[in-house]
Amino acid sequence: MLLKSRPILAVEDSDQDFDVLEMCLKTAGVLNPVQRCASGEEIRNYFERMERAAASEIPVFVFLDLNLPGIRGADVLARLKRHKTLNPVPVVVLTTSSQVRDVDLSYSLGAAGFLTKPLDLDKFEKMIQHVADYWFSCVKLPENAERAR
Amino acid sequence: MRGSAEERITSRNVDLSNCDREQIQFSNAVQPHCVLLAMDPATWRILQVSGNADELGFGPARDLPGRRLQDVFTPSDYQCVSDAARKLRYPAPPLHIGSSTLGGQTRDLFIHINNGSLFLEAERQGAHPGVAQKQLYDELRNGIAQLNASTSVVGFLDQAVHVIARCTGFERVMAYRFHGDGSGEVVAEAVHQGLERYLGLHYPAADIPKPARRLFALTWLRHLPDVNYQPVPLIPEINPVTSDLADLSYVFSRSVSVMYTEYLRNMGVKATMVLTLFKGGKLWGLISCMQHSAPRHLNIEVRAVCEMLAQTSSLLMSAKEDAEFAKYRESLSHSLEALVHQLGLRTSTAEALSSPKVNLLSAMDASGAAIFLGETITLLGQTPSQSAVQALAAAIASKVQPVWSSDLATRDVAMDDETASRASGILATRIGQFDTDLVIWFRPEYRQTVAWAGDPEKLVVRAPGREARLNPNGSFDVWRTEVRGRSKPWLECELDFASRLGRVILEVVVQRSREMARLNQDLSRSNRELEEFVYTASHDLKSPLRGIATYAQMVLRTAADLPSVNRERLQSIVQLANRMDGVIEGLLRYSELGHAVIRREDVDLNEVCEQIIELLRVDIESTRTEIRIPRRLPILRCDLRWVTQILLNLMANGIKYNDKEKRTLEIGYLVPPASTVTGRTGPGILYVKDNGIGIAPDDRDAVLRLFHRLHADQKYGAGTGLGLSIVARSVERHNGRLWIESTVGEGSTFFFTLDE
Repeated sequence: MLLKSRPILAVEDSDQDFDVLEMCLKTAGVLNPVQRCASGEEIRNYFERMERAAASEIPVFVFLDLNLPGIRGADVLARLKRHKTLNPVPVVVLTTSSQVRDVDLSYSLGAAGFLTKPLDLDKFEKMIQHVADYWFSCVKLPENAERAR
Repeated sequence: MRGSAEERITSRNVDLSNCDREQIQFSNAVQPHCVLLAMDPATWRILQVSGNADELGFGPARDLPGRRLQDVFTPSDYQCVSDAARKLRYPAPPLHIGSSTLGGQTRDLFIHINNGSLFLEAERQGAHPGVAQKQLYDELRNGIAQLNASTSVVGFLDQAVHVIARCTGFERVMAYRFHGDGSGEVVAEAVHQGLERYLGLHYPAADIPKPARRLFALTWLRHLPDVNYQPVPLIPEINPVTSDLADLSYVFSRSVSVMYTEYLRNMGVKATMVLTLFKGGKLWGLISCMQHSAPRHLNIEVRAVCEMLAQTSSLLMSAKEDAEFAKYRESLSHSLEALVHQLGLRTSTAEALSSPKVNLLSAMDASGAAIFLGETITLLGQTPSQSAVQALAAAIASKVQPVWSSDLATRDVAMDDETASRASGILATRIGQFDTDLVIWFRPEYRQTVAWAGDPEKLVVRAPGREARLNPNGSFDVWRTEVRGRSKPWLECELDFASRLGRVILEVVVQRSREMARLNQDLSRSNRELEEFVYTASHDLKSPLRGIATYAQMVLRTAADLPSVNRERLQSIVQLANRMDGVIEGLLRYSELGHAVIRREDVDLNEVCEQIIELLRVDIESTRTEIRIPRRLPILRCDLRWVTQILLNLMANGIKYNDKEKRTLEIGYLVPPASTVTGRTGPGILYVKDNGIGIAPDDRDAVLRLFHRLHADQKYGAGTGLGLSIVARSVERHNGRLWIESTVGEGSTFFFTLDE
């Protein structure tokens, strides 16, 4: 299973932020398809769909914004980590918040990283570049071999 | 004779020890100005006569018993007596049925029935009318008008004794009032000059013993024209119908107790007349008239007027006393209302009860008060010392359920004389959930508040013994001994006031603590809500802001052919968005500070400064600011995060607000000299000093205010107006102090401490 063909999931309610994220990913040379959930309802549907998903449909990693309409970001994170198929997938929190309590809570719920969205485009690009380098070039990601069979 | 002779105390065997049981009604003798005939009302047969009955001119007294009245009296006199007798209600005070000349003397005739006998008293006419008959009724009318006009009970009695003194010509007229314990007090006096004054004199209960009080209660008036009279015994000694001594309860000329005459003789009194004052059917007091110079026998007309005055006085005085009491009750209840009002206004219960406007002593007849609530004691007025009051409170705490009172506190609680003199009377009420939450009122020892007009010196001059005892000085002395350690008694309405006040305070305290709990709940809820609001709002503000900023940057990147003016405008958009982001971030910090818990740990300030210098490196290098740390900074117990915020903001400001060619920024630590008193050093002082533009004295408070900026947008780089507010609040949350020393154009130093 090629990592490059599996999707990246972005849980993001803001269209601009999603737009910028997609652009930054492209700039960083990431060619994976980017799927998006923009609301609590979409997330719930997605979770349901993913329960019967093929290994190729499981995302490589997840960008999670904590502020979402209809559902609390911390709840999404907790449910991701309890999800039948999604639980091994690294979740990187990408949010406006830099509050200590959000940082602490995210890691305790199983986040793999916590990024505060910068206002500066260059900084944003650099940050996404680091993330892509890290996940695709440094570390070994879960393969979902069990489900691939 | 009924009962045994040993048991019966009469004039033959009475003394100080048994006078309380003397049966004065069995004196079996009359005063010489009257002749007494006791008859069988059915047959008019004479049963007993007084030994002076020969004066009536019907032959020797001893021959009269056994004869019938109609055989002795003239038919008209007999007719007069028998007609009146039919109307008698029994038993009742003697009825004046007219006068007659008997044995060559005009005598007033009185009859009454008691114990199956009809008593006829024939009184010689009085030789000393007080004022002329004609004036008597004017005196009476004017007197009653004056009595009506007086406003207080004491004022009223003062009027009454003067009116009676004018009507009767007695040299001394006193109003005497009984207290609940049977003791009495002279409350008003009209007295001729040169005579000793008795106003304020207190008598022990023994001085007007129970039998005397019982007999006083039977009639409105008793007259003893000559204190030194010779008693005239009855013949025969035993009443043949009852086979007992005759009951002379209603005989106004009855021979009086030898104890009474002895007392009067010791006072130098030659004649008396006593009027009774009743209230609600009970003996309330006496009006006692005395003649010192000579015997004085008042005629029936003057006595009748006095009797009317006594009756009128009783009625009016009862009303006055009730009104006075009602006024006191009313003032108590007004003061209760005022106290309740104050309890509602003030947060401190003790303050509310001791304010100068209305306090625990405003209406209550007490000289001092104490409030015990939790750990605090508040004293008001005349009280024992604070330590004595504390000991008293501890001793009575368990008795106050919920009110306790004593007018003889020395009996209930151990205390020294000093304390006893101020706390003879104690009234206490519970005002809190603990036994020791009390309000206590104090009354001084009663006898110390009593001023007697008499000469207390005589107390020592008189020799001890019976004679020394039976006079006003002896009375006062006995009374003083009897009331040692006693206060004036507490009234029902005062106990009621105390218990109601206690209840109200308990309610207020409970209500207040409920209120506090509710407020706390509300506050923490609104804190949580505010926190949520700020958090959500900041996200909702930041999100579009980032959209604006990043899109502006994207356009800048891609549109290479953009005219430079538009390029600058796009850059402005990015800058403005950045600044707004800074403001939102600052607000978040600031609101977080409000409820953040300060977690103290050992923080090495050198490390903190190194990190901040690293953070500010770009700014430091671009401004070529020289950072000085003259000596190693200390390790302090404080919250790392917020101390970093304090130093970061102060250092950033120091670098920013500087227009010098050669900029310096100094971070230092001062240890204040040890206190000469305690030998301990105060908290260390940290400072951040720059050689920048300085802050004018008028602006020093303003710089700490939220969103307050002194400079235009672009000068010194745009600030958020939040930095110093966050510094101030962080210092405040550390219980520290922040102050500024600055000279405009030369630089500023921000000093702060982290714990005091």
